[in-house]
Amino acid sequence: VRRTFRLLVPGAYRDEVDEELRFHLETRIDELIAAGREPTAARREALRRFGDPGRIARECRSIARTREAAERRAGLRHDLGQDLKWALRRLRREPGFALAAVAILALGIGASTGLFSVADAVVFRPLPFTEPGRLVWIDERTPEGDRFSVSLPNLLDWRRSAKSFAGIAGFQLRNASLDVGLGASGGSEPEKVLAAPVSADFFSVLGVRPRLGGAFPPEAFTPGGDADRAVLSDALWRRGFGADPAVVGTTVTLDGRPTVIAGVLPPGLGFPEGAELWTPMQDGQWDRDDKEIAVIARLAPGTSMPVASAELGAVAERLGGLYPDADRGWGVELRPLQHALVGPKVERALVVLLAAVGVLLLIACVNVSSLLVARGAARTREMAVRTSLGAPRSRLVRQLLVEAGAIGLLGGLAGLGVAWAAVEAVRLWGPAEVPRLAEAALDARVLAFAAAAAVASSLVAGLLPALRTSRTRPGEDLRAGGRTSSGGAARLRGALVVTQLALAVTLLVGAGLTARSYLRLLGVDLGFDPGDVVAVRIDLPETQFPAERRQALAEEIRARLLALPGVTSAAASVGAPYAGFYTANEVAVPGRQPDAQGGYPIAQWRSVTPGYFETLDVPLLQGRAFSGEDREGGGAVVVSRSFAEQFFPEGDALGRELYFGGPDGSPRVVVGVVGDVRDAALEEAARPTLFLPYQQIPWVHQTWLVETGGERPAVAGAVRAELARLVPGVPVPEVRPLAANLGQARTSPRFQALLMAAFALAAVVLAASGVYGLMAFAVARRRREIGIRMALGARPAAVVAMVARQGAVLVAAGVALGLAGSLALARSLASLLYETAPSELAAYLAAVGLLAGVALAASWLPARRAAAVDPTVALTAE
Amino acid sequence: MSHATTAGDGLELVRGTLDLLILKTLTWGALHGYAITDSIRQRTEEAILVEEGALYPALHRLEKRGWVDAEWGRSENNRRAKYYKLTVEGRARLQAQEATWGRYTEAVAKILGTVAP
Repeated sequence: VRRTFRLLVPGAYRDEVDEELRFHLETRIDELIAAGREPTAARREALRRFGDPGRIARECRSIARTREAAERRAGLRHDLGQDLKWALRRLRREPGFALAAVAILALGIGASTGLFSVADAVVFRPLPFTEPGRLVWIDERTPEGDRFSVSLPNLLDWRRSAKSFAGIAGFQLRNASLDVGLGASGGSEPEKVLAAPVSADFFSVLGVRPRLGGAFPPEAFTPGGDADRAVLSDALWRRGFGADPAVVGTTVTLDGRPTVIAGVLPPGLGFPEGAELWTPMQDGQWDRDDKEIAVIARLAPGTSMPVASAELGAVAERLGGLYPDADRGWGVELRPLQHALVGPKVERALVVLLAAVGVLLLIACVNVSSLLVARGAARTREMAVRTSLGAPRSRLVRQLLVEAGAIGLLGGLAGLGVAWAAVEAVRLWGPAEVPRLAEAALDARVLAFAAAAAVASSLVAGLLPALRTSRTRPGEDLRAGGRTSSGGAARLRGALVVTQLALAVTLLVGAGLTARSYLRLLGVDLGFDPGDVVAVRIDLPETQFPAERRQALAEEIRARLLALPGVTSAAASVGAPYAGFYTANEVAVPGRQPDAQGGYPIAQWRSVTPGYFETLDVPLLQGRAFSGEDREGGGAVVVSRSFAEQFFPEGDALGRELYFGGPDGSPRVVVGVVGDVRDAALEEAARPTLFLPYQQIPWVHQTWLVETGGERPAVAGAVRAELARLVPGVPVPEVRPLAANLGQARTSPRFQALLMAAFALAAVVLAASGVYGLMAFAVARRRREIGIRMALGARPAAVVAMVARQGAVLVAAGVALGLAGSLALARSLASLLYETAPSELAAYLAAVGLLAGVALAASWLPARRAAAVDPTVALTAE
Repeated sequence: MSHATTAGDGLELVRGTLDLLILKTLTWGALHGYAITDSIRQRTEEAILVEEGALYPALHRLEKRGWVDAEWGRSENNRRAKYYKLTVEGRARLQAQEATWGRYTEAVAKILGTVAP
């Protein structure tokens, strides 16, 4: 009977499934035969009832395989859990080692996670709008090739003609005064808010819909339409209106005009950043050469940036032909919105800092790695015992890796605390002009980064030591009593220490270059003295303060401020130094031909009251400054030295004529030449500047600059009170030192220099501790040898020299490697440095000197201990 | 109800029915596949288990889910056989399934009753 079935599935049982199924079939066949069937018939009948044994066996095997795999995984999980428990217990038994290793990794993981969080919020994460990749920023381009803002008539023509865009919209930013207290209650304090007048389609270009109410109707944008409407940001809605959903349709006072609240935006979708309120920008009140609007657009589906750029360029060229006065020679420039907002400089700075912190993390890993090797050398006996008891090497490696993983896990957890502190610190002290910094937080992406950093650190730190420590020769190691061996471990530690030193050199060089660049920036000759000057900007809305009123106010305010005790001089200007306000216009000089496109050179201009140069201590080089006699209709202008050199290269600027705004502009006469003022960007040379009397260009905002002669805080308070009295209903912000503007311009490079210095310092400490640890270990291992040498008459100085030489070799190797690496890497810093070459020798010398000094000191301490060895003790200790 | 026993007429197995029958059968104690087959065939008057081999993938699946445990032992004819027995989870699963099955058949019977009295 059995044989008949064997014919069916010949041979021994393949596996348990085979055996199980055959048991069934053969039992059935036996039963049928017992019931009187022929064996062959019985076999056929059994198979007929059973179905295809091959197919069923395959199905069973596949199910069994997945079950076994799941069981194996569960087993591994259980084993790893056991390993982890064991590893944590070991760490508890060596608290000194555990604390050091965890703290080192926490520092590295925390610093990189914190910086990643910032970089992620600012650079990597897409903007919060729908399809942010299709959003572009559009500038006009001057005939000289500089980016410039856009005029509304041009924007409207673009919108009509260019087919590559789903929408084009413009916006501005201005200070507005908002009074939420309604007519009857009245008397409430007006609040200064940042308002954005926006053109039609602004919200639809961004893809943002108000969460309450709606956007502006089309008629709000047409001349004569009702433009007294406002959309609120979520933050303003909560702060000013207590998050009242019934606010839509109510009326507030905006710059003295009753304004209806049309809607409230969802949180986090405010654009441009910082804006709290949006109003319609009406067509028809702008000239084509009023290029004062920022423009964003959404690319139409299926269009690419180059296509859109080419099409809009053609439109701009056509407009240049139609309106030569305003647009001849002007082009357009498109940039992805995210790039335009962040700017290549911030992006590059963050990437460089991220790379630097990555190097620091690597040093931390290598440092922990070398600690693990040292600890492993002391466990040779344990490993030998386990190997001779039959543990395969893979099992030992796994155990050791899990121990490194436990350190990485604890380091990662502690690192989250460090990262949180780092993000808070960046937010507190970081540069204010970095966009979207407020969004930096420990969110899921950042947690994932921290987890990845922890796992990678565990592997980097743990792999080499695990492979090294698990390599045992049970016979020898057990005989030697776990004391000898590990010339290999010492060599490996030496290599790890050299790596740390080399990496530390690169960080030191980077920090040195950044610090030097920052110091050069501090030493820049500004051409003016912000010393005891305080500044405050007030906005006088056209609706309440027409031009004549503003002109009169400028004189009245100046007289009153000068009368305040402690005020030595005072002046107003349109846009203050380092206030991020730039005005420029064409300037034509009689006898000078326009360029090929018929354009004239563009120069920065500032509208200032008398006393401006005196207040800022700008030296008057020739002629006179402005006085009260320079009124509307007068033609006196003052120019800066570089302006004089550029426009009157013959060197006789004084008394020469020029036309402000091109040849059709009004004629002016140069009455004075002043020193150059570097008042826009620290890294930039002074811009050639034309100064005009405020009485001729009485713009709606005045920045008051007051020189205090010492009593700054008291005078600042008096200035604010005086302004509040003179222009009631206009919000007067805090009066701040002008130096604060400057300080802000310096925050970014300072912050960068500080971070680099902090990373480099941490790197030096880690590298030095690595050197110290290795040398102390080497001395301890050679105690007996040193004892013999001293017993044979070696002098202590010779012993110190012998040990220190060993350290010096490591330091020399590390520094040499590091220098080579730095030279290669420093080039990526070049664009971030101010007047500092990436190959500047001083930075390299300082880095080498500092690190070599610290590292040699770290190896000298163990060397001295070696010399203090008492030969009799060392020789009898065994 | 039909009492047809030929393969062509066998009842289509409602998904999970065989599992339910196996679990129920195992409440008697540990059994090997052959014994489970015979038990089900006898008690359903051969209406359900048309193909005996189909029992085995079902058993392996139940084992994978942890509802039955398997162990090799000696059979009545003194051969090595794989014995299956209910686990605690399997017993709980059976109770839950029995309740569901009761409600299900009741509902189906009601509809069939109204359509074709």
